[in-house]
Amino acid sequence: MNEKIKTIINDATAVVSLVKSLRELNDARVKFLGRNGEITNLLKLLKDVPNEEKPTMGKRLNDVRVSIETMLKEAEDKLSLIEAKERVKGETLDVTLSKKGGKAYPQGALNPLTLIKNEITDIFTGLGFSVLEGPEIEFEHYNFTALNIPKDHPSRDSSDTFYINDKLLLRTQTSATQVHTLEKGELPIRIISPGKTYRPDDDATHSPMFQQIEGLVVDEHITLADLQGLLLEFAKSFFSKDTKIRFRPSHFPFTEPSVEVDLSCPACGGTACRICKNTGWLELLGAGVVNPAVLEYSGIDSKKYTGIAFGMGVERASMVKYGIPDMRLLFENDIRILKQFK
Amino acid sequence: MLVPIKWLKEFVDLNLTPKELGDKLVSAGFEVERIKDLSLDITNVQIGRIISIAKHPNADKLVICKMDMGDRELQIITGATNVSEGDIVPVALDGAHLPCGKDIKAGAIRGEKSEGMLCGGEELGLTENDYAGAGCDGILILDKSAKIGENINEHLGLNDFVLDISITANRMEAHSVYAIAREVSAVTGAQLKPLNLNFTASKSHEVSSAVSVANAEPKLCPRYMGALVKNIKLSQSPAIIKNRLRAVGVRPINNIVDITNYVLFEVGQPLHAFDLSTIKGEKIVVRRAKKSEKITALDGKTYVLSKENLLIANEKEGMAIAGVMGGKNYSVTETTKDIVLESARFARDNVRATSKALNLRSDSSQRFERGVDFSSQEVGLKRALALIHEFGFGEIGGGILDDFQNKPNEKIIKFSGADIEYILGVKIEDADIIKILNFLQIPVKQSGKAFTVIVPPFREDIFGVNDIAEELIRIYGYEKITPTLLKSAGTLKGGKNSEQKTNDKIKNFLVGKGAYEILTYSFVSPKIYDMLLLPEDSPLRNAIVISNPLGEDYSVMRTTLSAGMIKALAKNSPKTCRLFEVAKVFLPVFDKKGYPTETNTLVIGSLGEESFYSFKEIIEDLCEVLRIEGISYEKHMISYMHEGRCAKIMLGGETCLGYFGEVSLASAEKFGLDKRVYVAEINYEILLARAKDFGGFKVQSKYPAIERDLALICDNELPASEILSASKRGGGGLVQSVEIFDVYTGDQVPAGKKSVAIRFVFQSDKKTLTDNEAVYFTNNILKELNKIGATLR
Repeated sequence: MNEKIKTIINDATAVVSLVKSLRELNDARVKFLGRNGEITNLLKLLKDVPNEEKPTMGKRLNDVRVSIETMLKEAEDKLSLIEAKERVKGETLDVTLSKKGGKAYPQGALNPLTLIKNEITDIFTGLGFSVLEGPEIEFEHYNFTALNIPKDHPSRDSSDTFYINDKLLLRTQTSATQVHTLEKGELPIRIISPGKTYRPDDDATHSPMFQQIEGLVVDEHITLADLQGLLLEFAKSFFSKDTKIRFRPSHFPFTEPSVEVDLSCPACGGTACRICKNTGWLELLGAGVVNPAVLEYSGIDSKKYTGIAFGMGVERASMVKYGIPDMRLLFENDIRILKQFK
Repeated sequence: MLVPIKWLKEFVDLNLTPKELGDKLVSAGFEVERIKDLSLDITNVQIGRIISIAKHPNADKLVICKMDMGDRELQIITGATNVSEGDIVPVALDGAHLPCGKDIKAGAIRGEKSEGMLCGGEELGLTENDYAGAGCDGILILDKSAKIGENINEHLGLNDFVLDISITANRMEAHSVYAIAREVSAVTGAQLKPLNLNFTASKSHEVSSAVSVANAEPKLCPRYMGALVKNIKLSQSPAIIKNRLRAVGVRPINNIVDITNYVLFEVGQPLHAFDLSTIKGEKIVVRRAKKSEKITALDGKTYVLSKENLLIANEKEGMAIAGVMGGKNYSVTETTKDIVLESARFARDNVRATSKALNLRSDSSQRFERGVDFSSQEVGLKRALALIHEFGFGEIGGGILDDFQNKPNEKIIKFSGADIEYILGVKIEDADIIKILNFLQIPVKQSGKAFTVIVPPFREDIFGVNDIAEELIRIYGYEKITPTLLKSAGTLKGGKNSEQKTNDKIKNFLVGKGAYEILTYSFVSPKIYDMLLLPEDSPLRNAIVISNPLGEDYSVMRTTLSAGMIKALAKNSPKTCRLFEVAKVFLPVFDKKGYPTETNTLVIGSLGEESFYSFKEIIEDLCEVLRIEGISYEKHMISYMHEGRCAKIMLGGETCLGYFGEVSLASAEKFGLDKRVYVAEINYEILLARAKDFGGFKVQSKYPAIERDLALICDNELPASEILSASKRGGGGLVQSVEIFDVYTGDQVPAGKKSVAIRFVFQSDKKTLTDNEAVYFTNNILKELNKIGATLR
């Protein structure tokens, strides 16, 4: 019996030391510890051992079993580690390879004009502005008359305005929404109004359909200085914090005084370059103090309330911001162009 | 508006460079678009005198001229035959550039040196009208006043800069050199010099005895003035007038016409000269043209007029299309002896309409379209008479005709310095207010803190205190304002409303689905109806029509976004892409106020590796993300969609949210597509209104779920939606989910039948379900399925 035990230990040590894989290890386990394994077979022989030796022999056999188990466990741990390492090695991928191109519909993109509109909207909503939209087909009353645009003003000409009939037209400016807001008479007013507008122009810097964002503030004691402050904040947020703005006198019938607002050229920072035609400035938007006639037209007491308004072209802002050379590119709907705005 | 700086200097002293002057004008509201240096057209051409002319030893047709250039002598060879010794001529020196495009180099001609070229008028860009003698075929012989050695530009008045100023629509008076001079005076602080309006009238000839005015249209012609000039001496104008006219792009013609043009640019008042002898009945009649009345204008063309056109007529016939162009037979000619000078104000919209209707434009019509103020008729007329008097072009008749039936009231504006500050947010001192207004020739009186302004007639754009504030700040300087951020206003909440937020959410969702946002025009061609194969009676053909479109392709307001989408897909084909657009469709259905219906609409399109079901998934996911419940899909037919692959999206079984499907090949082909493309068009307004921010939190069951699969067989036509709802009905509320994971038609199933594999998940919130319960409900479900004709396979 003792001899057999010794042989088993030696055999087990030899077998386990030669085991190469977890599978071979399992075979070894079956061979020694399995139901018909060698330890089990020895346990079966225990019944022939004299009674007084049985406890000692039994204990010995058990110790042998434990030591073989330990041996197997150690071997298993070692082999698992090796096999895991090999598996990982086998699963190694080329991380520089990309399968992105194989995807039918990868991430799309918002239109650059939407991005610009969102950015502008976010700046003004942060300053307490609400967002309001109006109809694109508008009455000439709202588009012109109520904005103090005289009957014989050239902008009413059919060469400058698309007409549906005598009264209805495609709005030429989002300012028409101003009047709807003023008419409601809920003061104070602080709105921006983005939307599509239409004029019969079609070239590199004009599109017959374009988008504007109109801003209107009506409150007690709003001044031209407030307009300057507001637009300066906007320009700094939209472009960069060292952006400067410049007011130049201009003319819009619905504002008085009216100004053209220039922006220090974002490309050169105002030192003069090709983009700003060496002037250091880029024209950004039109603005002014709301003409009291416009307020009175909508029944607002212009002695008590004053207002400021501004209107900017979204296409123009996006061309300046993204450096887009031709407005028509914005209407190409070519995904190669749109992809740039992911 | 072109403004030569030398002309400006007649009225205001200037020590600024053209660039500095331009900058100052920009800051005062006059955008200088360009500064043109007139001297750049002709370079390196000097005035010389021919000392002697000798034969060329090697060429019969050439001569050698010895030239006195003032400080040196030159030898120049010419082939011209009109030169003689002593003539003063333009000499293009080595390196000269001429407006005709020639570049001159010194060299040798047939072995004799030639240090330049003698120039003809044409080579210098001059015609006979520009310079006497310039029209001859040969060398331009300059007049005796030309200084030897001087640059030719000095002699031709081309040593000047011209500002090209864009004038805002309100400043009608500023389309004149004198008005710009007034602005220059305000921005530089130099005094404005008065216009010379002095002349001596002949006592023997009174205009009133020669001609009278009968104005039947005071609305279209609010003021009509006339003056008589007797015994005119028709000739070329003096150099100063010719040079200035050329600088503003006007060809000199003769002294009388030139004076009218000169005054047009200097004062901004169009004038017209009638030959007195052609004014039949000695009466100038201002009237509307009769229907189909004809007139032959100065351009030689005959125009057929309508009642909308204003005529300046004699007792018999029209002599001029008012404000647009004179008639051929009534204007100044070689034989004209006496003239009547017209200086009128015509309504700008009428001139514009006439000019447009006749397709006839002139400097005069353009000027009238911009608006001529009431003071300039008199100033313009007197200025012309003063020039005629000064240069001796004729005898001025006594008196002036003036038909001015409805004089506008004087405008008076009262304000205080505080009122100005209330508008501008910056305080301008009283003394500065007075100083600025004085420079702008706006009369102002101060009494204590109160100012009273009488608006001068040439400033029709000034109505109230806001206008005064603008006049002050544009001269005072916007840079003196300290920016404030809504200093006196309270805080407001602002922000986007929930629909605006949902709009952002939807767009971002679609971008995540791989879609690019496109932008197409709201106006389309009516041809798209046919491209979409719309039946003749389709409501989508009933569009709002633009009366003055840019062309047929942009002539109707779209009633569907699908056409634009398919076009965009075609444009990107064969690249795989998904696209979307949110825009309005327009229908001629009018509300109480008279507005047509504008409906915000979402269109999604796809091209490439798409199937009906993968495309449908976008819509299913969208509705899920927006938490819109009660969505179902029904088979649908649309003219441009594949008959078997189009669905209507129903909301609560009643409201149609939109539709989607595969575009029929027949329609796709019309757009130049040979691929399967998918389009969905969805009512965006319903989508926004029904979207829910969050559906409410649900605690998930902690008990295990049981999965069961069934293979069914049913008629091919049985819609999946019915199988699913029958399954839910039979499930006694324990069906957590049910889905069809396979549909099969083919050899293994009878014709007209399909095999449908369906998977349920049973789960209870209250307990662990037993196998028996699963069997019970599965049987129940089978019973419901049997009712709709689906049996176990």
